[in-house]
Amino acid sequence: MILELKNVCKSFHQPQSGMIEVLNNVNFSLDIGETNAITGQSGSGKTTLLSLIAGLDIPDSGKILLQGEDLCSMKENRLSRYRATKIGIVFQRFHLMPHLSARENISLPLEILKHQHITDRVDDMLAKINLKDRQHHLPGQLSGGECQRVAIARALIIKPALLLADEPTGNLDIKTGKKIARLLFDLVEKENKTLILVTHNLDLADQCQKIRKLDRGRLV
Amino acid sequence: MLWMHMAIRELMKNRGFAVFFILNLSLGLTGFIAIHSFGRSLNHHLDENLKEILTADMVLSSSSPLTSEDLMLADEVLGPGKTQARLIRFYTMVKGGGNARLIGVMAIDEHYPLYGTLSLENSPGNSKKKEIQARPGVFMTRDTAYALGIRNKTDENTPVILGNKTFRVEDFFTVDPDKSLTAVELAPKIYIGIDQLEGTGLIQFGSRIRYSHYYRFSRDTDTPVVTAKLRQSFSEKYQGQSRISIYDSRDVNQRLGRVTGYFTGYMGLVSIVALFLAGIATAYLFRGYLNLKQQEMAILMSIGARPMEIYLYISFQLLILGTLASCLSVVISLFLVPAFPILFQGLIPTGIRLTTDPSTIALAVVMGMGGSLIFCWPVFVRIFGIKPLMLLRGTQIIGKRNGKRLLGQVASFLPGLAAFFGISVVVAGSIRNGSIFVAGFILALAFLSGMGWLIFSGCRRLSHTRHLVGRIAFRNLFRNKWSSLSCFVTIAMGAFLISIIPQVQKGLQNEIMRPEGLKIPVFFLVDIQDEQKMPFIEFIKHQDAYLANISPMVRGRILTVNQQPFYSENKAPGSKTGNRKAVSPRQVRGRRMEFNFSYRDHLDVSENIFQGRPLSSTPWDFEATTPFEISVEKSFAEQYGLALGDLIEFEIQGIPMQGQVKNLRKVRWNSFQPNFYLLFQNGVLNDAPKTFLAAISHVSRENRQDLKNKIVTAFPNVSVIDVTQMAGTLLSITDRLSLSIRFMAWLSIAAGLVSIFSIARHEAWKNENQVNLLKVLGADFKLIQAITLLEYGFIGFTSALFAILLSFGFSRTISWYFFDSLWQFDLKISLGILFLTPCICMGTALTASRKIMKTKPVKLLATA
Repeated sequence: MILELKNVCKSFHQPQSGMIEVLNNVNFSLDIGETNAITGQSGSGKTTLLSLIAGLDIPDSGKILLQGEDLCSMKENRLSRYRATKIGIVFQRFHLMPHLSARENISLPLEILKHQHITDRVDDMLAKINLKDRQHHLPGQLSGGECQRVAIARALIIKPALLLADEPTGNLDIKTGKKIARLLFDLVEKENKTLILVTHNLDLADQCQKIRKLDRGRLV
Repeated sequence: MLWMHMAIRELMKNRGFAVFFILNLSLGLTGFIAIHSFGRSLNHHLDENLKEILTADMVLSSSSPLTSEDLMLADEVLGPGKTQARLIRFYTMVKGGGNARLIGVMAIDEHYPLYGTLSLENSPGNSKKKEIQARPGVFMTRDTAYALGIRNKTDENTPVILGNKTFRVEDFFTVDPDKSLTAVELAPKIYIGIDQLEGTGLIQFGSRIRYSHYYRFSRDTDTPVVTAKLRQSFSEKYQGQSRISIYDSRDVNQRLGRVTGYFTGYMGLVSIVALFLAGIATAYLFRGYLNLKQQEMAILMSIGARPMEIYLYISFQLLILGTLASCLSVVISLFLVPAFPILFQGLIPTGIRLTTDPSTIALAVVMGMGGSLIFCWPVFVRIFGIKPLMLLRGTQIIGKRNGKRLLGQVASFLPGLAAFFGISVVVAGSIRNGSIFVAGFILALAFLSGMGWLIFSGCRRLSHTRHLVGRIAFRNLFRNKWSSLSCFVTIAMGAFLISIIPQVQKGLQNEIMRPEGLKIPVFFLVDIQDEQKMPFIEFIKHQDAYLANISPMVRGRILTVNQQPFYSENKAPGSKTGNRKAVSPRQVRGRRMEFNFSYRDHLDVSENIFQGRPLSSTPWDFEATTPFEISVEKSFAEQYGLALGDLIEFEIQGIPMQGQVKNLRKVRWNSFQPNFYLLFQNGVLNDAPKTFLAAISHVSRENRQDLKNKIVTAFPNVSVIDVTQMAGTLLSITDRLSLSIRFMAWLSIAAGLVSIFSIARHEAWKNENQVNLLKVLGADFKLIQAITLLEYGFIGFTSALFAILLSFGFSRTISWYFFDSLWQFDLKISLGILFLTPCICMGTALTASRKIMKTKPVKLLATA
């Protein structure tokens, strides 16, 4: 088991409606190499769940254990290190550094970790996503699909224990979306990575081994 | 290395921001750096030339000739291996080329100067030294000769008459050996042999003469130690009441430093305003940059960058920008510094070599780096609220404000305020002056910010108009309140500076040239002997002139105040309330040993009693057991802590006498009437040996020189001070002061303009989508241009209006405080500022946003 969520609860305060319970006693676990889709309506708590697993936020109660380590007990710096070494995130809007080339964007997490063999790993990754010829282009000079390929490569370059993807095809047309999805699943399979995919897209969710549905903060 | 690399790279990518940030900060720093650089050059020059300026290592000086015991004591303390020179200095009327005028006479012996030489036009200086002791010859500079009417070769044989003796011009100095500050001298100088004083009849009782002995020591002598030892010896000999002042090059350095300090101090304070304005703009620019970068910071955090790494990365960028700004400011100051010797001509020694030394560069770098961090700190703290979580939510990157963050935000202004206060105190030279400046500045800033806030909040109402241009422009001003307010405050502060300087200067001019309700005399006369009084009054009766005032003057000393010694080394005298201030030995040394006293039947129009009752008109009886009555001038009473009822013991002509303070007077010194710090009751001084001061008015311009010549012929020992000429000298100094401040004020305006340009450019960039949308909807270039013009024209007009109003308030307060409510409204300058400021703002904004206005609307689709 790589990830385990125990009784995770999260609520937010909203000025007009008071406390809103976004996640209510969420429990689930994942094994290595497992691909999971989390679906649900808007406001069901999908993104909140993803942010908690990514260590970008902390639950009100419950535990999130990644490879046996409890995220909730980690301090800010430790969480940063956790994200840098164990988590890869793919965003819907790519979120690439606009002033860095495709190659530099991919190598950035390794540079943050002060990794030794950056060049070889980046070359390898560029080949895997088939972007070698566009490696020196800035994000502004790339298409949406190419940007998302760079984002996936950036997420996978650190060989994360867990890959999180938030609507990875949401900003792309259907054809490009399909290509990106294939690339994502191929890479996950090849690298034997555990994937949590948050999406509305049922076709995309169907490609995962398991589909979990969130409804008003509860897994159903 | 990754972060440094990224920081530099990002700055390269954001060249516009980087360039404007550097330009803004460097302009703000330039004034400061230029003043420091000039100050260092001046200090360096003084350090190297102090002995030449003083012409000796040490000087003993007194208003009466030094006794042989005094000189023996000096000889004994100073030891062997020294050389000496003598100088007698006084002011008198000199007649040359048909004109009489006041001249400073420097009677020198053959050893003067002990450092440097007499640089003469026609012969080596030292060869003439002995000659002038033997025959009546004078030396002077060409400028002095010109003032005396000796203007060409044929005039050179014109006799120069000093008192009862006639002299000839021996030669002309190429450089005056006495390198005093010419602009603050009462009169030009001529040099004669000390032996030639005899027979001039100029040295009489009551004449204001300075007797000086100059000393040059061997190289290994520690001058400060010897000076201190000699001071101690004289202090012991005279029980702390020595009339002899002893000074060395350090004192000269301080004196020169004080004069230039006033100028550089004021300029420095104005340069702080420039720095502050630049600070507003840099903070604003950084805010825009940070808004742009916060998403990238969140991305970096999401992929594992630690918050501290992000803070360091941004700090590094600020440090790079600050360093580059400081380098640029050093370069710009290189062009500004050469203007300083021109501004300070006559107030500083000539021949200063202007250099930029390492300490100036170090100061620039420290201020640049520190300034960029401190100015941007209130914006910087926003980074602490960046949450990568928002990348997933698609909401704003910076989290909501809570109490802790709000407190942090407020606290983030403290380093800036502390630095501002610290710099102000250092530049102003005292905590009091620095605090007054900071308080005034904050008051001005608060007023302008408050007004600005009200105006831009009110723009919401103004935007409810049918007129499209007005609707959009006023809505923009309302929506972008912070940027509108930044522009408003920046421009208003600059306009305020430009407006207030002429207002205050005008008050000062009025004060000097024609004080309210007073008739300034044409001539002020000193050293009229007792026996000359009646003949002088008679003489004036036969002239086309009016003797406005003739006042007796008796010299004496103050021994005690309320039985406490006046010349205590440790304490200043004070009232019997016991409120006595501790004073430094230097202050005690600087205290006058002799004062001038007078008496009069009724007060002059230039003075009035503000506390106590008038002095009794009944003549005081010497046999009386009660003390006589004294009237004390306000500033004198404040300086020495005197109050009504205080008992003061005097020594006049060796006779001790006791008086009591009965009233405190306020004197309008700028009236140029004979006025005194201490007035005694009638009967006290009537029989004491005295001289007279007089003021003459109602002399037509054409008759002035003629009357001067007649006075000199009839009363050769009487000095005639031309009041109009003196007022002219004062005005020229105030003009120079005003010019130097304005010089810095323009720098503030320049910094302000760069700020407007930066802000306008940033705003235009922010509004790019709106501009493109308007174009898509059919708006033409003119309409978009009109919106920008209205926005910035409105900011310019309102800021100028409130700046002028504020400058009225400030200048009125200054006039009330310093110049007895003399204040005049300068309509021309105010109208000029009101017209020019909106024009400059509109021009700047138009230039800054032109590129954005010209973009193709298709960009809207690309960014959608």
